[in-house]
Amino acid sequence: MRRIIVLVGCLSVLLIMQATASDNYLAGFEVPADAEYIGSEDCTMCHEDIGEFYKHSAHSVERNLLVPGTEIGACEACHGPGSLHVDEDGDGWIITADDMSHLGATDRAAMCTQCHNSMDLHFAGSDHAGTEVSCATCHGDQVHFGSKVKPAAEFRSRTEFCLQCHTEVVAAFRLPFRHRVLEGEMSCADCHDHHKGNDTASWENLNDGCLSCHPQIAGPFVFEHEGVDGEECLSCHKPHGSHNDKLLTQDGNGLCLQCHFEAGFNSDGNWNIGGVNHSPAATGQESRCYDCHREIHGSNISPSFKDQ
Amino acid sequence: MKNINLTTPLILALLAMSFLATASELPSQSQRIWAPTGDQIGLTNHATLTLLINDPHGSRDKGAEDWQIYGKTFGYGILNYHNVAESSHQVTVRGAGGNVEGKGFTGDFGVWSGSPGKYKAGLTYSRHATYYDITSELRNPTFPYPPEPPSIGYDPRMTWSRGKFDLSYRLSSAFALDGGVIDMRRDGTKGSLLRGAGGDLPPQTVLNETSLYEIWVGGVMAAGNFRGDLRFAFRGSDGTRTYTDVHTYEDDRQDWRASLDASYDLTTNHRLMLYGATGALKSKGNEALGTVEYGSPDSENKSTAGRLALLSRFGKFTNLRLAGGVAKQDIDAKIADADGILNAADRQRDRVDFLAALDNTSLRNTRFHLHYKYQQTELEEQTSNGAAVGSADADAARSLDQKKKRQEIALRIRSRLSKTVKLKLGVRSDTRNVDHTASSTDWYGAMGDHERNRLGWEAVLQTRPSRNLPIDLGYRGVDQSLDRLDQKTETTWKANRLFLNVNWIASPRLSIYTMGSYGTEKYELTDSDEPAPGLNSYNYDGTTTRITPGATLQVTRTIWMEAMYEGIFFENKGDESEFLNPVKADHDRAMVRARWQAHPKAAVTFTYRRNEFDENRWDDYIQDLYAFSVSGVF
Repeated sequence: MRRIIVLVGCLSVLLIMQATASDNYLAGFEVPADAEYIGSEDCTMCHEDIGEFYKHSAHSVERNLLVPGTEIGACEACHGPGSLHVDEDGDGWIITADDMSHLGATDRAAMCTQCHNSMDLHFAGSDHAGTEVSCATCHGDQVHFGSKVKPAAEFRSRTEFCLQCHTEVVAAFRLPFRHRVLEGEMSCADCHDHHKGNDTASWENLNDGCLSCHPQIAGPFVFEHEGVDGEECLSCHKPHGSHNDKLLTQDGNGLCLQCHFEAGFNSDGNWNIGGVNHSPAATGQESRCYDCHREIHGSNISPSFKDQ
Repeated sequence: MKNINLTTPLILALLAMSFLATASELPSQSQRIWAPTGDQIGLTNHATLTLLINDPHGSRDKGAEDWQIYGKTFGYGILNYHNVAESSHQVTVRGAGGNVEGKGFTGDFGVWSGSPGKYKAGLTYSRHATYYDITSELRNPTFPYPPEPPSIGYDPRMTWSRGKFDLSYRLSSAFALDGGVIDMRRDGTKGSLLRGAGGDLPPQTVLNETSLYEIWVGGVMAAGNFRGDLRFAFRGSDGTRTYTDVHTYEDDRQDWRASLDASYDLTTNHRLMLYGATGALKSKGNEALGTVEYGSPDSENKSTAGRLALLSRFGKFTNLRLAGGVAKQDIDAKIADADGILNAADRQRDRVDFLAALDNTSLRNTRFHLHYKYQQTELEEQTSNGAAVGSADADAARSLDQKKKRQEIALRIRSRLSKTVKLKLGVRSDTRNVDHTASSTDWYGAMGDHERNRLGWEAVLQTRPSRNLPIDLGYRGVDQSLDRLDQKTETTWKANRLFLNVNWIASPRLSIYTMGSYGTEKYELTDSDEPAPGLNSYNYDGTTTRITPGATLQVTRTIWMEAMYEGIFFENKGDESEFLNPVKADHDRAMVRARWQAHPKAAVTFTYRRNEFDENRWDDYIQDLYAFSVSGVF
């Protein structure tokens, strides 16, 4: 452990020394040295229609919300310092919508997160960071339409934004045993924190999403099945949907035997697992492992997860 | 049982639609076969009231389990209201529900309010009924259907509800506070996994009377180059769970956790991130076997985790993420009766992990992502029977040392080959090694040393042959082996999935779309004989085909029609033998909807839906649903 911390520390120092200065998403543009921030009131003198457009949004000029720690707000927060553009009657340098369309997803997200700073903190380490996904992929053109298309956190619509890209999950949600997400009873965000990821945050328990609604599985048990803390729930369950009851990956004993299969099992009359004879003579019709090992997530009573 | 072949008339209807298209407006309905009439995305003010008639055939209970529709006639409503005041204060109200589920009013309701840059608050409430079949699975050909399988004498139903309130308030541009509370309850009887206990036995059930609540508060701070997010949460869950009079649990769990996320911009190109969390889970309560008290658990799980990460940008094209973390769990679990400790465990788990991820876009129109993850977990566990861990009075004791190493390396490439063709490729290798040393194998069949190797890959082609014809074609595959080094056995998992999405805007009035997928999944135990009579399957050899064609058509200026079909065909022939039938399942769902825009702000819609299920494990059913809806916008 100590070696890894030292390694991370050394790499950090090395990378800092190699860094070249720039201005976050503005690094993608050549900002003239003499361009200055002049406030956004001047913008709406010419772009009156846009001022009206923003009127009830957080981006309205009248509300004058500023990028934290700066005096920059409204238009200039994204379009950059506007002095040259104003001085030259609209011909001078400014970051136009066309310029922005060439930005990568990370830089597009950076435009938003300079103010939406809690998202800034989490999104940078999320699984979506570094992909083609940026804020507007899900939130629509919220910047320009203000409150009119704001998806907020409502049920139903929230899920639909995820399913635009994750189409394979739609198929899973249509199987007979499923979490009822398409029916609107829950949403993707109940399990997935789409603004976060497992890479740099929220790592302490991979099963956390499941246990928040199924607390009885969390134990702590005297006798613990590996799936509860040592492995993932996904070892046995398909969380979106399955052909099998309880969202299991298989419908028979093979589910357990995938891990507990032992040499000689079911050959030459040998039915031993873990030193115990599991002869079918001792079991009933269509017997399954969990007919007896019913407390399979963990038990305080039986080391073999039985009710006795 | 009523059985009508739907495929032919649906295809004919879709073809007929294609000859009718001539007008100038685009269809608005997207491909959402699951959406009830009037369910719109977005914040347009709208409401729909639906009268629904259910005409069920076959197993009504299994139909109810799958679709939560129980009864004959119902009302169902959808409401969406959104208003922005001159002061910029916003209110949104959404609701969807009725008595469709047959257990009073069920559905979802929410109110959200806020003022941009100041505050936002939300209150939601959901209540739903869950049904379970009254007979067990039937895979063994010894128990064909008919005759009627044994059933329990009542309909297992469980109601669950969830209420949530959350509020966030921005004190200044640098500070924001938020908090909330959740209450969730389960009440009723649900099907147990023991519904698969055998075709000659009625299903087992679980009685639930449980509740869960959670309260959390947090704050976000941004000052200069610093960002911080501090959270604190407390959760409690209690109640009674009874497994068919065999085992009763009186739950009483409480857990709290605190976490801190922070970042500091070292330079404009380098960000340092820190994460720390700590928490504890306590479990008390009581357990009884049948009517005999067994004991009371008194257990605690303390956990802490810390993580440090560096996000760096090099020039315009390269981003690098480096992260390392540690986590620790300390579990003290025991159960005792009046005479003392019955069973106890002392368990410590330590984890270390490391991540390096590189993103590069220096090649024109191409993005590379490469990452490597390493994780090591060490577990030390001692369990005892009859006394505390370490006590000389213990009747039996066991110690376990386990070391797990996991490594993952993944490469993803996305390239725009031309204006109309985009290609995505990905490959991921995941390896786990487990060294396992136990003092005894007497207590349970713990796995010894083992190794798991998983390779996954994908290729997706997104094409736009014309502006009105997007086509996506993809393939995903997984190949896994798990080797028990102690037993010299191997098990395997192989899965393949091919999918195709086509959306064709054939004319301004007509859209035709299809999602199709074909998947195979195979779990095998190598060198094992087939199951003997009386045992369930070992292997799994499943094939799933899904196809969902659909079309929307504007017939006239005021009449719209849409038709969708969804077929899911599943077969599992793993261990097919004289003792075990293969599992065969057909799911046919169809919907035809006709809408008349009687007024610019009002429309009436007739909807026909069919849910048909035919499988040789469970009871078959058909649900024919006829609905008449009145919708309005305001």
